[in-house]
Amino acid sequence: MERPIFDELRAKLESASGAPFYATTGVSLTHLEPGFVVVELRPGADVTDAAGRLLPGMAAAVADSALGAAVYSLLPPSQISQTVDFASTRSPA
Amino acid sequence: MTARSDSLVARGTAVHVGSSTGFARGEIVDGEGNLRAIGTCRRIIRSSELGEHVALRTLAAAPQPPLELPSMEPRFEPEVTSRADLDAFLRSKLARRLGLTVSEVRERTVIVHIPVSNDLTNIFGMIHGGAVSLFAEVAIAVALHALLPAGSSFAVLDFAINFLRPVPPDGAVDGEAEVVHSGRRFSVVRVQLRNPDGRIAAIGSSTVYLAGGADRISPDA
Repeated sequence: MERPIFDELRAKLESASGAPFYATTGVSLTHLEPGFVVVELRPGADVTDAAGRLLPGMAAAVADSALGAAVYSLLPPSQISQTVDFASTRSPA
Repeated sequence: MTARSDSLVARGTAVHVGSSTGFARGEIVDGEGNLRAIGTCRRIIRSSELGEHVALRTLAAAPQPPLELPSMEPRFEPEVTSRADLDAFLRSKLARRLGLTVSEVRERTVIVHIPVSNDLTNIFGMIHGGAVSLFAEVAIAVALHALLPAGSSFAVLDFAINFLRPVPPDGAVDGEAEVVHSGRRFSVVRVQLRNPDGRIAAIGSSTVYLAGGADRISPDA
């Protein structure tokens, strides 16, 4: 595996000239293949409250990144995609 | 289940990519292996009018590092939040970094004001959809903390959002979250996010389980 190439590309994407959202929130793309994406929120990111609980919305923020990227990764170079809706369920209660 | 709750892994899989729309599903697992959420997203596909940038498809085509996924326990329990956490919530690092302020609290509605800047943009230079979702959920959370009776607790069971138009990276977003229904066990909260020009950028909603000590905010007609 030539990890340096992946790391270099990811660093560009997550840089200020790429998508600053990632750096600001501590979200990182850890795996990408066409149609399948893994996104991580690193431990210690500033997204918890004083009690150490994850703030509302971060799960949606992370999921939106992964799902959107999964679609985007399959598009030809001449096309882009934008999210029109996102839905998540958290518990069967 | 709060240990390492600041760690999340989301896996997204494209289900369908056509000429005009795409659809993906995924799951979110926390650092302890708990399944925290299952989600779906729909995307509209159109021609690019943008210049060169490092695109996700370029990254997807690059040699991949080894895939290490956390093992996943089939635990899927609601995360109950105490209403008393509002102050801690507003003092949290991210809330302060967002510059979130509560501009108005009415009987069933709160309005929050969130300044936006370039630090939350996507590769297109607009505010990232994940950040817009974050704003919407934060507004919903503020409504619950502000409007539920003291001593009550709740669990947000789902969240859905429609993105109507992009949020530009300058200015601010105003989020109006309304408790549209509050029964004995469940509440429904709806949120509208507005751009500085007053146009609606996104509409979101959540179903909320009232876990205990939560009387009705005010009786439905």
